[in-house]
Amino acid sequence: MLEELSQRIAAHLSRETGAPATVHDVRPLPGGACQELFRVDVTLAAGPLEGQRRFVLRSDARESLPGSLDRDAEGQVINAAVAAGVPTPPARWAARGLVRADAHAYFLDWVEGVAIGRRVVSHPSLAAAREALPRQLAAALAAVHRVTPAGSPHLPLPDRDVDPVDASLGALRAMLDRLPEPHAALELAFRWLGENRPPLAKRTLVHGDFRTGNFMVGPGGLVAVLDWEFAHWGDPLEDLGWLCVRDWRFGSVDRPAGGFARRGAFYALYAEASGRAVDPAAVHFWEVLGNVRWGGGAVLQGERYLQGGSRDLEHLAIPRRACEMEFEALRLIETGPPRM
Amino acid sequence: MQDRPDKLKLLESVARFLGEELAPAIEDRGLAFRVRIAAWLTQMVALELLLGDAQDAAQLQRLRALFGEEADAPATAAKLHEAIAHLETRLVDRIREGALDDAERARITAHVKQTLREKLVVVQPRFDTRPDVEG
Repeated sequence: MLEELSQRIAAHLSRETGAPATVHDVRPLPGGACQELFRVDVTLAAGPLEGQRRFVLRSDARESLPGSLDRDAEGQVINAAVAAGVPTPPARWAARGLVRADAHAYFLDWVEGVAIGRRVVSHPSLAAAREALPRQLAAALAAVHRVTPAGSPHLPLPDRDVDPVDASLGALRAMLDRLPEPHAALELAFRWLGENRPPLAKRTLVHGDFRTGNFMVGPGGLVAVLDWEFAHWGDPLEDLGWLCVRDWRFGSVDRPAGGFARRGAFYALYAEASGRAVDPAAVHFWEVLGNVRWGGGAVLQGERYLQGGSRDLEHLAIPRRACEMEFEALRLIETGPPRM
Repeated sequence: MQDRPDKLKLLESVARFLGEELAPAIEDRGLAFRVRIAAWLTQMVALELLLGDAQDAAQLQRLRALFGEEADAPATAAKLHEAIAHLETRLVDRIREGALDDAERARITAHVKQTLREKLVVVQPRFDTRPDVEG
């Protein structure tokens, strides 16, 4: 299978670059729920990337998660973000049917770095990177949010005219209705969300999964923003709230922004980079919503094992952790938005 | 009745073996991660064995107090779990559809948070439940 894939990749890259491409190695990497990943070593005979190169090939998996983009839309979103100034490799040489029939795929330049959350937050070798990360991430997030429906009308994202809070609460209600058992904490928090809607400040591109674990970090800090499959038009503060969700702090609970920065410091860096003040109450709303979403998501991951035939012990274990997100959602509601 | 060691000791010992002896010896990171999950799940079952009955009884008692019900304690663990599931479902319906005044909402929230605290003691004993945990 990899031999045939190598030949198809060589033919595709030769066509795209206008000169013979020689593929040396194609190796599967651990993928996600929505995509298959391969490491591709290749020599390109022409173009700005002439020479021996390494790429990641991302292709649609057989299945996808509700609300996730395919590789065609994802690649377009990444390139719009890159054009807006997000420091991450662009999506190159979009293809269809390269890995499997009809599956969309694209290539990313290979970057060296660490994405595993706990290491990013606490590994001694990344201490200097953690110093640089808050400012870099605030700038990257502000750049994501410079992409707007009016400025990029071609982007194939749904819901450009739906109120972002309505869309998020609707998706969350549908998720809670799929839970296999009663979760009173999630329902209490959901009720609070309906009663505490933030005003809509601005509608922009939202990354949708902007959190520690999805940032590739090298010795100098941020080298790539990963996993764009949940990108959508929405409230930019949704990304700030999700970044602060307690589970993405990987043990550094006293550094609410991703486990590496204090809340006020990060909001200030984002305000500086975006030119827009941050409403702490609105971020608080999205952080509560993020905890409810991840709590419900944790329960549903278990169903992949219990009903879906998954044999991954991680899927089986995660639903028992839902109580962490549930408790955190109620704690946030009780303590209220932070005073800045 | 089985001889010593009892089932709690057995589970705790398996958890310790998996997490402290086996996982560090495995080079494959993905597999080592899953062995640590296995250790955590085993330890969780041990704690549930130790605390579960009392927690379940307390949860049912709180739910009955919320709904103003009086009844005998269920005769079996299965009946106890059935009664809890039934009342938690009623509670969810109440939260979704009820006109909750502040007092009722506070009573419901207190029950829900206490239930979560009891789950956390079993699932993640090191989870910090202090309101000012962010410092």
